[in-house]
Amino acid sequence: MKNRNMGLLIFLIPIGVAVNFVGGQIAVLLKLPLFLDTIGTFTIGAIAGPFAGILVGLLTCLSISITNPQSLFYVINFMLMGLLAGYLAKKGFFTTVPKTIGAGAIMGLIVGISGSLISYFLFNGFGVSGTGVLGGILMGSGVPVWASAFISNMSVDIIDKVPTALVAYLIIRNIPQKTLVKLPNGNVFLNAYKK
Amino acid sequence: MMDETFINSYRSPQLSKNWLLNLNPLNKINIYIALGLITLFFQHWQVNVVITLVFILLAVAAGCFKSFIGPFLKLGLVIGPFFFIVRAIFWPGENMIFNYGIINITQEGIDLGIQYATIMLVVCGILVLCTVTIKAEDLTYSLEKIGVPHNVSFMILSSLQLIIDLKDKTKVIMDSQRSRGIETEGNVFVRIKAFVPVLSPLFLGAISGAEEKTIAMDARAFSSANPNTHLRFLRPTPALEKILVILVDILILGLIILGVVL
Repeated sequence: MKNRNMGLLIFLIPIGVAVNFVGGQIAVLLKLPLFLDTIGTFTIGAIAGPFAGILVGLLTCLSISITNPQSLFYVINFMLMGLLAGYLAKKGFFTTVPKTIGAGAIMGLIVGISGSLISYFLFNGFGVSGTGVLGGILMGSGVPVWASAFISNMSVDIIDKVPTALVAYLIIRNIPQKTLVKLPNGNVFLNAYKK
Repeated sequence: MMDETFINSYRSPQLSKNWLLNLNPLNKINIYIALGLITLFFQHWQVNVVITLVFILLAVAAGCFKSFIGPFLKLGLVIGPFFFIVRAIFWPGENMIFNYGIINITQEGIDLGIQYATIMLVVCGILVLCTVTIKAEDLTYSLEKIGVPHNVSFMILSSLQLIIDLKDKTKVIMDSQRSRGIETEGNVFVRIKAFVPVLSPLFLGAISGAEEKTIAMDARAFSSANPNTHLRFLRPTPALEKILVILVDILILGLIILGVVL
């Protein structure tokens, strides 16, 4: 039985990676002001546990870095998101809308902190995308380097992760029960839906 | 006749005419990363430019200059200038060159910008060189040879395949949702509302497909614990190649030590 569950996981992880990629692209196609490129990590992490989430994050980072080399330096962030999604889902976040928003905020906060630490130590406080420009504007107007690194990274992460968590919640809500039964974290969701 | 040569090509190790392409994928990665590490120990942008040129020469030697230079320039010309400009404009420093409002160009900022821009060129070089000289299936094969389970190979290869598949599906789903009257243009809120109807069919379809695939793969003994066979296989690493890689590593280590001491 354990072996068969393992089999399903092996198929779900590539889906998570591909959805991360495609989600980011849909956001670009729809010209949304958000990244939304971690939906796969959140969802697979939430339904299949922290270990699967970490793997999704790692593989996503490696495949994204082909077109976006800066993200390679943030590999810890990608894995942290998977870990947190799995852990928080086990604690029953992701089962109702308010809790999901809470989970998104917590993850945005933690990922924001680790992201700004990476930016601060590797890239002199400049983020590697729009956050870099934001941080730069703050630095230019006299804010100290460490503060502008934190403000620019944290704000972007929290604004991005809460909607991502909500989309992940909507998708998990629509996964058929017969599939949820077979997943490591599935019982959490099934018990919550019964009430 | 055509079919026969195709089948026969799988009877021997997959080799090309180029000696560099024939190196074991892990050895290639070893050489690239060792070259890249030099940048960390020499704080001069000239060194970074030289290493970037070495990568370009390697691409020429591997006979894939054409496929290398396109993506490399595309990435490098976006990322390099970006890294330079944000530092040049915003980095606070003592030697002011130009100041207007929040724009604050200093000598320190420009130096820092050049250094980071050239480091990013090296990073782009490593990544693009990896993608053009290493086939994913060769990489997973050589990973399996050093003891990585075959499940991992499967995950890597099917991730790459699924990205392509889902991209195609996205277009279909977007068109069909549009034809059902979901607006994909308009103000931000309209567009945000369109996101979930596009992504969720994609995701849920893929998840239900995964279940079917699990059963199909189990029927083909995917989870069997017996040793696997391979359709494509690589030659065993020749002694000369091992010596070459070790020599390159020692040489680079020597350079780094020399650089640190001096």
